[in-house]
Amino acid sequence: MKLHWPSKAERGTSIVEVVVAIAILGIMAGGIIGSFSYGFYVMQLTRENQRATQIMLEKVEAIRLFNWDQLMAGDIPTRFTDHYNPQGPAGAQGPTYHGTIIITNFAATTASYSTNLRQLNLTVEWTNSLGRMKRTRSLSTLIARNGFQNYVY
Amino acid sequence: MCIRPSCKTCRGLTLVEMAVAMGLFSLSAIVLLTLHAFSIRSLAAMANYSSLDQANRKAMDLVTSEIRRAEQVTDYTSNSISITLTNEYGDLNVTYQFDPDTHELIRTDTDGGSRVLLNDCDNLSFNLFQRSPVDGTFDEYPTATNNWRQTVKVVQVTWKTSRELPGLVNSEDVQSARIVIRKQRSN
Repeated sequence: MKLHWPSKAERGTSIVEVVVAIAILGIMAGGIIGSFSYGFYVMQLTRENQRATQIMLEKVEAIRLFNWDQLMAGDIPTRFTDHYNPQGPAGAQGPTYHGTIIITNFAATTASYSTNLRQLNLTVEWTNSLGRMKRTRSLSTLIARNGFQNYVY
Repeated sequence: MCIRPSCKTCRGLTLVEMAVAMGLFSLSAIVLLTLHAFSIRSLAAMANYSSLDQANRKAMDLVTSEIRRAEQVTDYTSNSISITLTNEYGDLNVTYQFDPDTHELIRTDTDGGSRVLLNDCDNLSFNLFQRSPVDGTFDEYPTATNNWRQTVKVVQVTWKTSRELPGLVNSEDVQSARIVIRKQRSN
């Protein structure tokens, strides 16, 4: 029997080559894991933004039921807190949303009807649960003296 | 028969070289398999998040739009609500029913329509309120009697949907809305 011994070009890889290959593999794996982590971060941020929008809309919907006199008397609260999962057990309700409401004169016009309008600025702030970053969303709308209070039966 | 390597580089592997090679192979195989499993679970979790969000938004859009233009709340339990809408053919009664056993939110109407809006619903609650706000809060007075037709002006709906994967990956989505009935029928 005659054995064929490999030439230099046919030999296996050395340990240095293997280590380099593993290092490259590790870098690739780190990149893939990092991309997934970033994907989850963005998705969580999107869900928290959506909840912030829902909470703001809930407050504005509640404000629709205040009439003009109540509005001028300052009956609308200026601060509130809410949670990502209000039905969850205490301590597991997710991020806490802190809201601020400012009602000002409508300064965008000097027309006669401007005294029958107020501008409502609503801001919610919370700390992102994954990145521990401060996040803010805001909403502005107008309240008319003869507007939606009368529209609501 | 005598086999003899012809040169130094043509010799076989020593035990130490073999052990090191197997160790490196095992290490890289473990890393690859772990990465593979992590990728599959992550992709599945993202797909769950995405489909849950899509179903939730679609259901919430329908529920809020129909309650907003409802004329009356005709019946209520903490898991279900019935409302009266008016369409071109007259009154249409719509019921939203949450079934805790099947985890489904089902919409039925008196025109014979029935469809499942949500499939993976863990909990859902409807809460009813009257017209008048409580001073200094964003709340309205809760309905004190079961005379829903006369008293219900505001409907609060909250639900949570989730899906679980092996390995404790849990995709969940929370939705809530407070809806004022715009033009409530007075009788």
